[in-house]
Amino acid sequence: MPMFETLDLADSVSSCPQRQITTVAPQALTLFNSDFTQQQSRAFASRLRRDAGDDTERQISLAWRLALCREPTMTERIKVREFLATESLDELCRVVLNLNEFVYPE
Amino acid sequence: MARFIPNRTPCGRTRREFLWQAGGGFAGLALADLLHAEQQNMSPLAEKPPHFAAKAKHCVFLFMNGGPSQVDTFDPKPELDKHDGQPYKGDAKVGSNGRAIGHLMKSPFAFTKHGESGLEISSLFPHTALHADDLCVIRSMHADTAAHASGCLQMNTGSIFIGRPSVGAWLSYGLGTVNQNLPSFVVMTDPRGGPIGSASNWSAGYMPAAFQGTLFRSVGSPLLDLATPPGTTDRTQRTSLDLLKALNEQHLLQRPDHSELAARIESYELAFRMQSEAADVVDLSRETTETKDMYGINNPVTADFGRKCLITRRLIQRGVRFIQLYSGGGHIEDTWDGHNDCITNHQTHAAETDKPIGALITDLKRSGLWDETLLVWGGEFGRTPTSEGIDKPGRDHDWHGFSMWLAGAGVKGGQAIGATDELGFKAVEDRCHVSDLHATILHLMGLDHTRLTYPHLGLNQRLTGVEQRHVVNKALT
Repeated sequence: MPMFETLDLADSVSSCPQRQITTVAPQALTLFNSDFTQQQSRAFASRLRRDAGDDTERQISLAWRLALCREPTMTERIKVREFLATESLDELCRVVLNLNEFVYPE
Repeated sequence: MARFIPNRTPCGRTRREFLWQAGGGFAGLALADLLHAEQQNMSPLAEKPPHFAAKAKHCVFLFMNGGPSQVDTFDPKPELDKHDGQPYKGDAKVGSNGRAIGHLMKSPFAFTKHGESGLEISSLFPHTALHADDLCVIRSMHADTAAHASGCLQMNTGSIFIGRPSVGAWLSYGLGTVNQNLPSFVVMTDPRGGPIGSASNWSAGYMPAAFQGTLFRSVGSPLLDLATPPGTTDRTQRTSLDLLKALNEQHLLQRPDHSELAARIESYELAFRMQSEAADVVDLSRETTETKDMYGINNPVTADFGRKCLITRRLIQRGVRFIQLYSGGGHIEDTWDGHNDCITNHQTHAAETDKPIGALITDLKRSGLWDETLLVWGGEFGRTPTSEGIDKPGRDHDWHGFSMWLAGAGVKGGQAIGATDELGFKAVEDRCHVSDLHATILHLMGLDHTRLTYPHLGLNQRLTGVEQRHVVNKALT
């Protein structure tokens, strides 16, 4: 429900010919800070550890393939490698689940 | 499992990237660079100069959702008292949706003169009435529609159709905002529900999404998930947002025509800044007991609207451009839509809002914000001077004539402008269309409604539409 609410759940008392499209900061807060996102990031990270093992490069590749259906570019790989030097894999998964490329279907 | 993943990167780029690069060529590269530069240097909400010196820097729209009755609030009608209980014989089209039409029904609420100006206000608003000399009541409002959904849309966007930018979006577009850590346009709805059409009432329509209203929840934390998750340090939060931004910006470079993507990047930055600033705005713990009592926060009847009004004052102090508060949400009697029993309905909703509104005016005056703030009070239309059905104290919709008031910066208070006919059905003197009201709001905020345009569908669109509209000059100081 919180996710629906912030993403403009249609009003249940009147007909809704067209769903609203909005892009506001509260959606970012929910998608970035919510319990649900935390939980999904942890689950995503455990899957990466399970299927790709401890190898960082393999983890990055698998994360990109699972979430974005493609391999990471070299620039992306460098940035993510740097990130993982100080931050956790769970944290990387939280970022991936918030990427525009993941959130918006093409 | 990996074998199910299609290879979407022939020659090292996605299909979309290939088409963009092949088709867009040099022009595309130049455009991407320009857009990138623009995005780096200027937020769409950066402060912009008005067309002329503005009287008001902030606008608060107190939206009485459902349509308050003019003859019970700000438009006394002695003739209606005289003809109470008689059938209506005039020519105004009465009622909506084929609802039963009853007899003329006088107001049960006594009107008295208030302040030095002697402005007449009904007994529903004793606290607002203390500021009678500041109010400019427009008794000759009229709208184009009998229905709530289209009426709310018209009052908010100037059009009875969905998809147009709201007043708050036009102000954000025209003026930007001084505080980049809070949204420029905040909406607070009633705990009983939003207005019909919800987000379309504070939409940016065809404008970039950055100009739309941000909804603050009325109960609990104003925004869901405002706090950084437990166990995540601020430093990690920032590092993660930096990575997200960097990756999203690379993604945007290949899709520079998507304002949604840019708006979403911006929304994360704003969200991060809001984490501290918004939490502070709604933290009323440092307000004095005297202030909280004045707003009625300790009384369950006024607590919700009082809290919203106090948060409004705090938002204004922090430079927020446009704030809209809704009284009434959901349907019929939960809003000002007194079809069944307008008397009890209006007593309920007036009791919930009057004291907080009076307190807001007092508080703005004593904190020095009154001279830069414009207040607008009213709903999407008014109510019929007849009852809805015989011997039933309800009133139906009346969009031919109703009352609203303006107060604050640049507004000449202590006066009533325009008039409805002797029974209060229809605006007859100094008629003020909803779009004339919009032109006046823009004027007070330093914008010329004919010059504030946004290109869409081959037309330089205006909030006030293509017809001739006029600023209500009598309302100005």
